[in-house]
Amino acid sequence: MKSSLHSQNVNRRRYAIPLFLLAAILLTAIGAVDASAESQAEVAAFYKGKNLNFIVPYKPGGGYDTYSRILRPYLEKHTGARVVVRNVPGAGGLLGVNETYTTSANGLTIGIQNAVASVTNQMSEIEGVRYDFTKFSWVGRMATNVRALAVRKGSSYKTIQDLINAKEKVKMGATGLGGSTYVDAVITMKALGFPAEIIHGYDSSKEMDMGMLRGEIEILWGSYSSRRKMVKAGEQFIILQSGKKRSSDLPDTPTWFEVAPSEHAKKILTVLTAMHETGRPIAGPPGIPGDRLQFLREAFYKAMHDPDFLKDAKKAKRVLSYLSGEEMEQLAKESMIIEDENIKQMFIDAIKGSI
Amino acid sequence: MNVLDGLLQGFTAAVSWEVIPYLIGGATLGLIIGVIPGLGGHFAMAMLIPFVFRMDATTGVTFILAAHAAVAQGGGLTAILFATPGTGQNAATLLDGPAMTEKGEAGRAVGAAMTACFLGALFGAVVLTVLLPILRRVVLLFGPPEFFMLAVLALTFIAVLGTKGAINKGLIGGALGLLFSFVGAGNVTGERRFTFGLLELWDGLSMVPVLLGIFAVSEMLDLWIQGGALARKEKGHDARSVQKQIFNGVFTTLRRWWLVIRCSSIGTTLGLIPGLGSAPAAFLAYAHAKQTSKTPEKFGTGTIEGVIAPESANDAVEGGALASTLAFGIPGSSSMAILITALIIMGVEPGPEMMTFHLDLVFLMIWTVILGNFVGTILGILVANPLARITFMRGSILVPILLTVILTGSFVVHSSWFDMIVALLFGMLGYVMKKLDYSRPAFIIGFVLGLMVERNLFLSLQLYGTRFIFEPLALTLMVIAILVLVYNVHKLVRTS
Repeated sequence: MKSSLHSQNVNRRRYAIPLFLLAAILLTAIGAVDASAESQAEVAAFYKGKNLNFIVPYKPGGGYDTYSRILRPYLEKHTGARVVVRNVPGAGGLLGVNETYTTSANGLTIGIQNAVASVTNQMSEIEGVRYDFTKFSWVGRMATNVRALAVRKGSSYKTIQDLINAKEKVKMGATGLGGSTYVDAVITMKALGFPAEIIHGYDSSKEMDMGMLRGEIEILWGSYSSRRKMVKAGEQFIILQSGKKRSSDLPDTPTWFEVAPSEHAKKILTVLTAMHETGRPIAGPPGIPGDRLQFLREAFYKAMHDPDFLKDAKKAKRVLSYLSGEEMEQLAKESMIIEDENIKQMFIDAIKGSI
Repeated sequence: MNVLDGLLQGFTAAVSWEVIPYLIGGATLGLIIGVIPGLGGHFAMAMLIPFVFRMDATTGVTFILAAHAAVAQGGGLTAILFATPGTGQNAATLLDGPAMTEKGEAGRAVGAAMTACFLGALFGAVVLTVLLPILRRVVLLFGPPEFFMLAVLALTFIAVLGTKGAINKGLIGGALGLLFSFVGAGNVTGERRFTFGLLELWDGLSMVPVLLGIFAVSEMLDLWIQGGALARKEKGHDARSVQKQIFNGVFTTLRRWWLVIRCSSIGTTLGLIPGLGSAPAAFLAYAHAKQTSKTPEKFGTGTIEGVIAPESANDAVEGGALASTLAFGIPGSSSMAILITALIIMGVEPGPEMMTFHLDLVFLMIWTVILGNFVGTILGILVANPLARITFMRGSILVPILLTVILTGSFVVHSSWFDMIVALLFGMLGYVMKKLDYSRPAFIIGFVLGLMVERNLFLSLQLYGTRFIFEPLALTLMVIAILVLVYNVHKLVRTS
């Protein structure tokens, strides 16, 4: 699991496990374990053989779906429930996330979500948001994505400095307005101050890859995992990455903080980094009974650390970055706060596509 | 490893004793999934992904690709016999398939469809093999300007789809389809069009429930209102005559080899367009067959060409869709995206290096498309006989059963009640269109191509401005589109 983890998560995680163990030992020592063990057994009996619905807010076959289907058998193993993956696509994932939030809080329905989209949707107050991102019952996080700025092979822009010094506008691909490729493009363009013309409307990152191969577009933002293949094939190379510290996968590529020209730019990028940090979390509706949520969190912890699961994820080339439910709860709250009003407005404009 | 070695190794791998059970198992599963309305090839593949974790690349690829390959046969069977398409790719078969069943020629139609499926897949695979050395350049020929022009060319076919020669009814059908394609968040501006405050409409109307509604639900309504059975003629009841018909259908298709080749090349070309799927290819092949037929008035009344054309095109699409998958590791369809996920799980990195280091696997895939389809065809022919006899059941018994299956099919794809309602509403629209002779194929072509035209036009304009029409291939396609239009208008003026 030494994959592209943000270093601060590594730290969080490093402390999380010992703390968890310590707490468990303390509880045993005090003897409070009798009561809790009893209720633990009750909760386990509650889940045994029941259907645990797992909502994926996208169609089968995508990244979120693949993550969920790899996790499914291990979640079954550690909850004792029958995990039913349900694809609920629609409104760019909003429909499924809404359902996860508004469903009965009996602990039998949880779902994965694209947290960046959830945050931006709520922040820009688009109609149709029926959730409060900070109030989900967080089970934990499966992964975060390192974002990478890719340049096509044969481009005259070899480094981020070339790009910043560019004389004319560089063609930069993006999918729909307000999508993460678009928001990243607009925000980094503003923060780092390079001239770009955003060509948006591509259907998917795959179509943009083809566009790069044909030479229509020079650069694009994408998750590192989606770039990996083209980079390996020598068709694209990465000149910039997201985050505060360099990922272990990209040790020679500067982060956006390293090239930020001003304190203001750093402030903007801090917000963007926090958003990407939320990644691919799993949550249920608010108000899941405490002991059941605790049970789900522990089962998720065990599933995410199951050696067979790790093997499967590695086989599918899926980068993992576990975060506990408690930590995710904190992160969700932090990601919704933008103190600077101007920066907040800038993000809202970027999400709405009015920049 | 040279091409010939790869070709041989791929074949020996595909027919080895370890792999054959997976080939047959996969194809059988695909056939079953194809029979269930709404569930398509990419569903079959997504379902099998958890199994490939414990497989090696050879068996895994064969298993899921064979399942994917045989889906078209399953869908073709039900389209002909029960007027219920498996998925979009079989919708065009509904134009003449059920009409043949009604005339008591179900066996002949099934024989023709199964053979056409196999021949189409074979054609796509052969073209892919021939193009392998220059695959990368061929795939890169097509960018937004070319996709735009290809879609415009496809739209011109609407002109020939007016039922009974009524060009205006074809155009109205097409325009209605275009209008419905614009429902949802616009790809260009992101603004929401015709969504009426319903979140369910943001991503647009899904194709499967619309297709099932327009073609299948409407047929059920018609059958219910008219009474009787799906097959109305008395003859052709017994197993032996159905068997005879099946062979007749097989040989008729073989004799129409030139039509099969033309329709297959339409399928393979459209397969190059990312995300288009095989439904429009099938409709275009149908339109092409009608346009070039000496007896176009027979189309829609149960002519065998009307079955051969779409069924050969819909399986030829795979050859084109595999092209960008193999050349660059960039999937040409949602099914291919799942295939790539599976390949990665099994430790093979799809893309250019695959052509260098895993040529045997490339050919294994091509062979699986061929052999999977072959198995699907044989199985399809085997089950056709018992199934064909169900069509003689009374409508009052059959309609409730089939309608339940159809509506369940529209529900399960996204487990959405909304999709079920969509299927019902479009069923009513389809019934009205059928009764008043508005062209339903034209509707579907408009519906499927609308967003593609819009998106690629917008991208082309952003990238090249209006001079995008002078890109060589785009210009060629535009000239062809104009010629097709002129030819049709000329024909129309002459006949009226």
